[in-house]
Amino acid sequence: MSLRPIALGIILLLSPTVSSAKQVTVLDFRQGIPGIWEQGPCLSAQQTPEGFALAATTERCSILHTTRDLRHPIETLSLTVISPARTEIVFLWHRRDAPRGHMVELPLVLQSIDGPQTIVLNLPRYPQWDPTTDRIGFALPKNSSFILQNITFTRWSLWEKAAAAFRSFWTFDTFRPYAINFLWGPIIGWNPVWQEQLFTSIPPVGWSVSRVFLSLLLPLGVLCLFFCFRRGWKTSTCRSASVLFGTMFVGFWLLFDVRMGLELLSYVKTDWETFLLKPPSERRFRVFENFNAIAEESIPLLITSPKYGFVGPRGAPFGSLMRYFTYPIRPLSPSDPEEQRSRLRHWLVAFRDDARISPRGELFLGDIFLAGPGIIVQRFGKDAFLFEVTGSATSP
Amino acid sequence: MSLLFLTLGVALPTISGWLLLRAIEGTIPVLSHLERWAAGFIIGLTGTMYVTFLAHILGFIRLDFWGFLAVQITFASLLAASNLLRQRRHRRSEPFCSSADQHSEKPVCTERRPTRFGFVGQASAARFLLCVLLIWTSIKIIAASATFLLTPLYVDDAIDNWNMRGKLIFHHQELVLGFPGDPQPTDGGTYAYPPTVSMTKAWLAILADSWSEPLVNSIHIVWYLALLALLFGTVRATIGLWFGLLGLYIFGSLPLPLLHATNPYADMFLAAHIGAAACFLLRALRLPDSVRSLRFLLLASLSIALLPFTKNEGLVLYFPALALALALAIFSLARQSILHRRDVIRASLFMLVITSSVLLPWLFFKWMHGFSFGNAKGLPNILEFSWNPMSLRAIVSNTIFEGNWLLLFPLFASLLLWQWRRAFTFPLLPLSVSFLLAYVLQIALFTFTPLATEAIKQTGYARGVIHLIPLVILLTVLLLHETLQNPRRDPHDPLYSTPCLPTPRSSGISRK
Repeated sequence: MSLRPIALGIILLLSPTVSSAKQVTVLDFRQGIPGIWEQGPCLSAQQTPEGFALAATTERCSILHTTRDLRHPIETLSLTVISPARTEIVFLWHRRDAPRGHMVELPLVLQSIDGPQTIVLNLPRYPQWDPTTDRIGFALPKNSSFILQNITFTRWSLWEKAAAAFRSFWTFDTFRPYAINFLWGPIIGWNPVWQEQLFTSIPPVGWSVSRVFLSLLLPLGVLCLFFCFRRGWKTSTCRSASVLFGTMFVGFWLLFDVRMGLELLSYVKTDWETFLLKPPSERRFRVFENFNAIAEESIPLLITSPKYGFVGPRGAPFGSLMRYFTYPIRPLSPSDPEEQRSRLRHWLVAFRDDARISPRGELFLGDIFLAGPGIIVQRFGKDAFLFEVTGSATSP
Repeated sequence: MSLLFLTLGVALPTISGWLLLRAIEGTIPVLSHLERWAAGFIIGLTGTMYVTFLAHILGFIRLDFWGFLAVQITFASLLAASNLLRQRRHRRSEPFCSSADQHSEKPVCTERRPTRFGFVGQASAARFLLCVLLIWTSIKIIAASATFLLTPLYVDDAIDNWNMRGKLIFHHQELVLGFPGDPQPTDGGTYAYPPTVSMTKAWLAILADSWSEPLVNSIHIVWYLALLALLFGTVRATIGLWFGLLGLYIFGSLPLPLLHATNPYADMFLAAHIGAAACFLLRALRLPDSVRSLRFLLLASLSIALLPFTKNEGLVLYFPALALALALAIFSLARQSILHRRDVIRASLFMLVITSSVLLPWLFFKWMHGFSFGNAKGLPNILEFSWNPMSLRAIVSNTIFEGNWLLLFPLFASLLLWQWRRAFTFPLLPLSVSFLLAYVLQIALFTFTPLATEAIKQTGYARGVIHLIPLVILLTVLLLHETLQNPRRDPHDPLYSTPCLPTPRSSGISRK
């Protein structure tokens, strides 16, 4: 049998994927304001050399753009903005099947960064998304502003989607504390942005590969049973169908095993690269970051007294860890009675940007007085330090 | 250095376990060396810790070096003396031969050992593939274990419960029932859990004279390896080497159990006890030889009796399920006249005595301190009705659509349906029933009680599955074996029923 017809068939089958190329539309606001934008009366919108400067001063305001002229559906959207302060804005879109004024809202956080920052949205992950939406926009809360530099709308080609799906099968989660209870496993994302953002949200959005495996195995199994019942259990048809089913099952199992095994080995590799092979002060341990290094360096000083103070991020197990590390020396927290706290000589502050030292050298957590006056004996970054009380406590 | 202290720390308890099993086996050793050492470690360590616990709460010892050592030496010496006496009596009274030869009406039977693996003609390729997969699995286990031993604590329950409680025992040299200085939880909180794991950790640290994380955590890997070895030994003895290796691969390839083996949680520890009970029950039911069946039933009774002293779920969930399986096994063997009335009474009495000796003191201790019987929540809270359909969705997702168990559960469910007649008749009936009972009960708890949040947040359900994994693996491999050997065999085919052959010299049952 000649292979030429098969090759031709494959080429014909693949031709739509090749011809369906990636489509990108960029709205650049540095040269002018592209398209039609409708702004609310309370919004100040001005075109500047840096981009489209938007500001809401008196109340929450929105600005909307008509996307009817767009010649392709929107799958991913990228925003480049300049935001001098941390701002929570809302990205809006209108579903064509919804009433005219009814907009879907997606909150976005713009970080306080010098210079432009890019936010990439994988829109198909939201069930409410309409790829052929006719209006998009932004809502700004009261007293907020940002500069919009550009918006890029992308529709990915079938080939890119297939490649992203393949890559996402081999994209691994990191070892997070929930892994002791469940592992997400391979999940398919259908475009490159989706693949890159696969495990950044919990739960990850996408197709579980088990779903794909089982939806292939189940019909084959039923077919196999049908042949065997119809033609008899000892016939070659039944045997071939059973072998095919068995081989397919074993193949999927092995593929799954290799995928999950590599994920576990990726945890091992990360631990060796970021923790075990690093000098103690540079060690990073999974989601605990450099907490273990901080604790290790602080403990010799903390255990010089019968008790010490500890402040860590809410919800993290660092307080329990410190209690475990230093037992029988015990940490107190800001919620312990002030009478006990006032006797402490050392405080370890970890990952709390609301902890500060007053001009009088006193340690505060927000507005709560913790200890002081004293000095920072060791700093472990901008939001972690070891504080030693040098004078008597003077609660304000 | 940690490995040295680990070896020293588990040596005496394992020897005690070995001697205990050997004492139960009596004149006819029914376990292979591998099975006896693996089960000896699992049962010996828990048994020793239980005796230590009893001696401590009765005020005989402190939980210090000498206290632990005294119990271990006494326990091992008593068992060694009993074994020596038995051997001497046996040598004097009769030349070595199976007592089954004298007492049983039936000829001595061994378990079937088929040689075929996979479809005929593809056996070599399948064996080669299996060897490659076992190497791959070993690489994963070694890499994950090495990293586990060299990295700090990471998971919540280890920080707040298992390791913390161990450290408290290590520092105070006594059982501490609440964190010093903290208000005591009314139901005991995590201090209501059996202290076996924490006591083991404390013993290892006491031996090394320092709280070393790699040392106290290394014990979790040993529990996993012991369970792997025991399952392999059982399947090998039951249906042959290659299926034993297949079972080993299937278990070793499961991602979540491997993570539990390389993290200091107590679920694999509990699974090891359930696995030991399941293995012994299965062996008992596949031997139509009263003496050997009885030995396996007694071994299973011992494993089941220790369940209440493993985790709280061991007491309220798995102990009743496996006790029922044991009762079913005794009933089945008695109905087939494999067990005589005297054997039934002996097995039941042994079960009663050994269970009471663990269960009653532990229940009394819990009751005395007002401790709860539930795990995440106390029993009264669990028994409140609260329907939550979301939990079923989470359960299906965790079981089938995530990466926790690969394709094990679709395979297992298919095999249960396909081979239902085999799965729900003897000898597999007790295992299938105990699995279904425990599993359905768990699903009911996660769906109809306030424990639903544990399922929805996926913080509790998978751990319950880990406990039952040995049962699932055993059933899967045995049913797979049946399917591959002859997918449509008539259940009344004499080959299908338990074989009964004269004992060959190379039966794999060692005689001492």
